[in-house]
Amino acid sequence: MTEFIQLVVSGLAIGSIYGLIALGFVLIYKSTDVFSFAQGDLVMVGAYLGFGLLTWLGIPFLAVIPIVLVLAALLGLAIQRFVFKPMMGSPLLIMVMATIALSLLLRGVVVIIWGTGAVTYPSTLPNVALDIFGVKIATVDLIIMGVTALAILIFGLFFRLTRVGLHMRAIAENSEAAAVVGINANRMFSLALLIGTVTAAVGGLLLANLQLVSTNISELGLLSFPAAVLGGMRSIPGSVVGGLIIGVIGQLATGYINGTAATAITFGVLLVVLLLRPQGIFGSKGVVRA
Amino acid sequence: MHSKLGLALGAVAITAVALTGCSTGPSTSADSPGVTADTISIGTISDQTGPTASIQLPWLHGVQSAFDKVNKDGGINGRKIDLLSEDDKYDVAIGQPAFKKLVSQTPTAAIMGLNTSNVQAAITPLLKQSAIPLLSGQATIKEAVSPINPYFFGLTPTYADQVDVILDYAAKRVDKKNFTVAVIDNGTASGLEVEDLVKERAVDGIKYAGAVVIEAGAASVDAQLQTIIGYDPDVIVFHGTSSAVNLIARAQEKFGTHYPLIGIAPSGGPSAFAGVTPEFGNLYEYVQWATPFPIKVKGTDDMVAAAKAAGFDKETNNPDFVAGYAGGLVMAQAIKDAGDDPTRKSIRDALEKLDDFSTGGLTPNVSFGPKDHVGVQSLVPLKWDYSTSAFEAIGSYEDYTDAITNEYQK
Repeated sequence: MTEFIQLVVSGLAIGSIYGLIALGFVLIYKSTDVFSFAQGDLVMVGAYLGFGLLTWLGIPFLAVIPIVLVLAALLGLAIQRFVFKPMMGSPLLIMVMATIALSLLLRGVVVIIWGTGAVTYPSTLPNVALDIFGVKIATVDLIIMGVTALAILIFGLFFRLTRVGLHMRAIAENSEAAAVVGINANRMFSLALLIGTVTAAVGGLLLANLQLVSTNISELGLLSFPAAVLGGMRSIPGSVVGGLIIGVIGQLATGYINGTAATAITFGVLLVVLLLRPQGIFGSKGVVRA
Repeated sequence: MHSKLGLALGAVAITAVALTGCSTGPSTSADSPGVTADTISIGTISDQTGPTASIQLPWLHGVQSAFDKVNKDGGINGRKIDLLSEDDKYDVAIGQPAFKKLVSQTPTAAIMGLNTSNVQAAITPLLKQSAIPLLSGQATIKEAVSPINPYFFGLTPTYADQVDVILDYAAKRVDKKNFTVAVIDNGTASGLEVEDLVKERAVDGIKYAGAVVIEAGAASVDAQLQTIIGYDPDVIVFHGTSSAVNLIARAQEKFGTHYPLIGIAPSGGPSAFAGVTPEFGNLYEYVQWATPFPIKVKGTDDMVAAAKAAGFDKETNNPDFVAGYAGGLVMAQAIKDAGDDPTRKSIRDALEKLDDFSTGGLTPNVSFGPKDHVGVQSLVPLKWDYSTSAFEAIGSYEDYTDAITNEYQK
């Protein structure tokens, strides 16, 4: 039983990161109807921005966090201005190709600046192993789960209780109707990209506390795609719950079967859920009125 | 009038033929692709941007440094080595077209690398039909040398030899003749090969507990360590990347376990120890056949100078870099031995005749032969010294020679 709980706790920790990144996916998708294949590379950029600030300027990790978030926000705005905005109205395939091109561009820039070798953060979040009734959990895992919970709370309240949040929801539901009532769609898209990039950067900073930083971090970011689909591509809490489920399933499958089976089982579960509930666990079926 | 025109046309024709004869363009001979009057092209195939780039890129830098040194010293028989490197991104689907490119599109006289075992497994059968020699860099899988492939030359010791040394050292490390061993590997062809080799050798007091897989790019290994805790081995044989080693060390730190790991070459590298306390980082040691700086041997100074000239001076403490550098020296020697007009065949023949070639002590001497295409057959365990940020050898190559059974060469 302890082993089962241990695997679940480990899964929740890594799943929290997937969920956080998936939240960014969903935000961008909800606002623009575009599935951004660059999200994983934005995670990587966040991790490397942190590394750059830590090593070039010698700033302590806690001070690096807000700087990285600001830089990520600026990057998100730049992406909206120079990639998404010019493409608005283009066929979906073109928009998706643009995100793939952006992904390759981001990776190329990171390789030019930092190379392809793995690096490590010289300072990190406090990492002490706690033993709670026989279950081991590191303080960094608790911090990751805490950050994710906070993100759900903040964004949940933001979309429910703020005017801007309401406008973003309106744009996501029907951008044309929202524009008719005076909501600035372009501004809402910019905000969606900003938030999506910032959440990706947070994911990158957290991942960098768990492992070596390399360009392969972008592939971990892509694991949040099934998390978003599982939770519901238009559901913010769903994206995070999807991430937690993916993380837990992965750890249980690895622990009880093996690492190779984990991928097959994770995507097998995704397939079953989608067959039974195509809109995802928390998604709602769209209604089209003639 | 006609005779003057005829003379003029004749002069033009003679001039054209003379100019063609003096041209330094690509060789027109079908027997010497990749060879021109002043260059010889050598290709490499390795992971430069994929999940094992942290291990394979230093190797490529070592090759580059060696070739730069050779070129700076005047080249070989009047020719400079032109290195054409292809990135397989750890993917067979990318490695195969890269191979075809080096065979025919931008032809090279020989190829080095195939360090990704899955890519090596896919391409090795193609070497004979392409009639191009290959000198492996960081992996020598069983299928490549047993039975002998006339065009494959494994510079690095086979996995069988590596496991022999690992288990011999493991007994000393845990100070037990009878011990339990588990395997962690990355699930690739060579990983499964290592699992089988350890299982075969689990006799006479060695008990095999089982294996877990950590795939390249894994974010967490908590679950795998849980399985290892269930096995409770005395020692773990590791096959994978330095990133996975690092994850295991962090997981051991979290769970408070202290399982010693001994890895195959090239699973280490300085990045394996980064961000981990010495208490847990030093649980990992691995066997190697290349001698990194600052361990001083005859060839160290030249290697360090070549690395500095090529801009890779920070990598000389990495055995993967040294392995690449030594590989470059071996290939350069083969080109030299292939004669004034080297061809793919003459380079292949020269590799096969290489006997007791010295890399200045950077590796054991390299020998191939008609019945043995494994160039290096000695290894020594290395451990990381956090205080000096350098590797130290645990004993010498001779201390472990008796343990090696040369299973694949029999």
